[in-house]
Amino acid sequence: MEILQVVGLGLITTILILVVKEQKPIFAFLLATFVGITIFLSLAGKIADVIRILENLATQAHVNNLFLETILKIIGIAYIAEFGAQVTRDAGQGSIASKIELAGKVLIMVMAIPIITVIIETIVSILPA
Amino acid sequence: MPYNIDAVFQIAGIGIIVAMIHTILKQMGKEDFAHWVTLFGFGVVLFMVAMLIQDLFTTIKNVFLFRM
Amino acid sequence: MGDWLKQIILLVLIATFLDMLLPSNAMEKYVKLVMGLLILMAILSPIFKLLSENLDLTELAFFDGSKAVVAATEMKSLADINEQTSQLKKKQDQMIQQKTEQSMEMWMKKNIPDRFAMEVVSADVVAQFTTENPHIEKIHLVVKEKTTGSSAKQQINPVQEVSILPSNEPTHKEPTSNETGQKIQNFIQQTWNLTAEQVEVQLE
Repeated sequence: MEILQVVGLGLITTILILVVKEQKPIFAFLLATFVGITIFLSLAGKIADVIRILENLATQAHVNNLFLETILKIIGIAYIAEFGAQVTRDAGQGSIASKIELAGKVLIMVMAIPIITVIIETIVSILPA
Repeated sequence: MPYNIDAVFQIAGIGIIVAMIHTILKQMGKEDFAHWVTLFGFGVVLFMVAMLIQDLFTTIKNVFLFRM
Repeated sequence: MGDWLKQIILLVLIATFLDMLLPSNAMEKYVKLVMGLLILMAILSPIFKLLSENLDLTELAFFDGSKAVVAATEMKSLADINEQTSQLKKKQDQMIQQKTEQSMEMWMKKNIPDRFAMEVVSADVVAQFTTENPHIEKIHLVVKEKTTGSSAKQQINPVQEVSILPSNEPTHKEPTSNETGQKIQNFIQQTWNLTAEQVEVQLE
C-alpha cells in the first residue's frame, strides 16, 4: 500500500516542519520541498508505466507520433511548472509562482501554435476564396 | 518507495541541531560563529535538495519529454 | 478509414487519461485546449492528405467523362491501327511465302540427287501466298547429271536443255534427255500435287 507510505511520510514531515519552523524557517522550506519531490518521484515510475502503455497502444494503432509527443510534452511542462509554482508559493513568493505559471501557459500555447496554424490553413484552403 | 525517507529525518535533525547550536552559541556570545554554523547546515541541506531536484528533472524529462 | 478511426479513438482515450494525470490547477485549461486541437487535427487529417496531394476536385467530378474522352481519342486512331495491321499482315504473308519457297527449294536440292542421280543447279519456286487462296504458281528446276556418277552416265551429253513449259509443245524437246526430266517432273508433281504446267525442269 503505497498510499499509506505517502500519507505517513506527509504527516511526519508536517510535524517535523512544525518543529523546525519555530527556529529555522528556511530548513522547514527545504524539508517541504524535499518531501514534495520525494513523493512525486515515487509516483513518477507509475506514471511512466501508464505512459509507456499508452505509447505502445498508439504505435499499434499507427497514431501519428507528433500527436503523442506533443501531448506528453505539454503534460511534462504542466507538471514542472506546477511543481515550481507550488514550491515558490510555499516559500511565500506568490508573484514568482504566478510568473512560473505564466511561463508554463505560454510554453504550452507555443507548442499549440503549429497545430493551430495547420488547422486554420486547412480551413481557409477548404473555404472557397 | 524507492527514495530514502531517512533523508527527511536527516534534514529535520540538521535543522533542529543547527537551531540548538545557534542558540547555544548566541548564549555564549559568539554571534558570528553561530551564523557560520547556520550557513553550513543550510548548505548541506540545500545540497541534498538540489540533488533531489536534479533527479526530479531527469525523471520528468525521461517520462514526459522522452524525445528531447 | 479504419486506421483513421482507431487513431482518433486512441487519441481521445489518451487525452482523457492524461487529463486525469494532470496536476489539478491553472494549467488544466490550457492542456485541455491543446489536446482538443490535437484531436481536431487527427479528425481533419484525411483532409490534410487530400490537400497535400493537390487533388483537383474538378478532375474527380468529371472522372467518367475524362475516361470517355480518352476512349474517343483511341477510336480516332483506329483507322491507323487497321492500316498498320493490314501492312503487317502483308509482310507476314510475304515472309511465309519466302520461307515456303526456300524450304521447297532446299527439299528439292536434297532429294532429287538422291533419287535420280542428278544434281540440282538451281531451283526456283514461285508461290503465291498473299491472296486468299495460297498456292504454288510455278517450279523452275535446272538439273544436270552428276559429275561424280558412273562413266556410263558421263557419256550422255551434259548440255541438254529440257524445258517443259505448259505453253510449249512437248514434241520439240529432245527425247533422250526428256526421260529423266519427265521423271523428275512427275516426281515433283506427285510430291506437291501440282499440274504439269506448273513444273518446269531444265536439263543442263
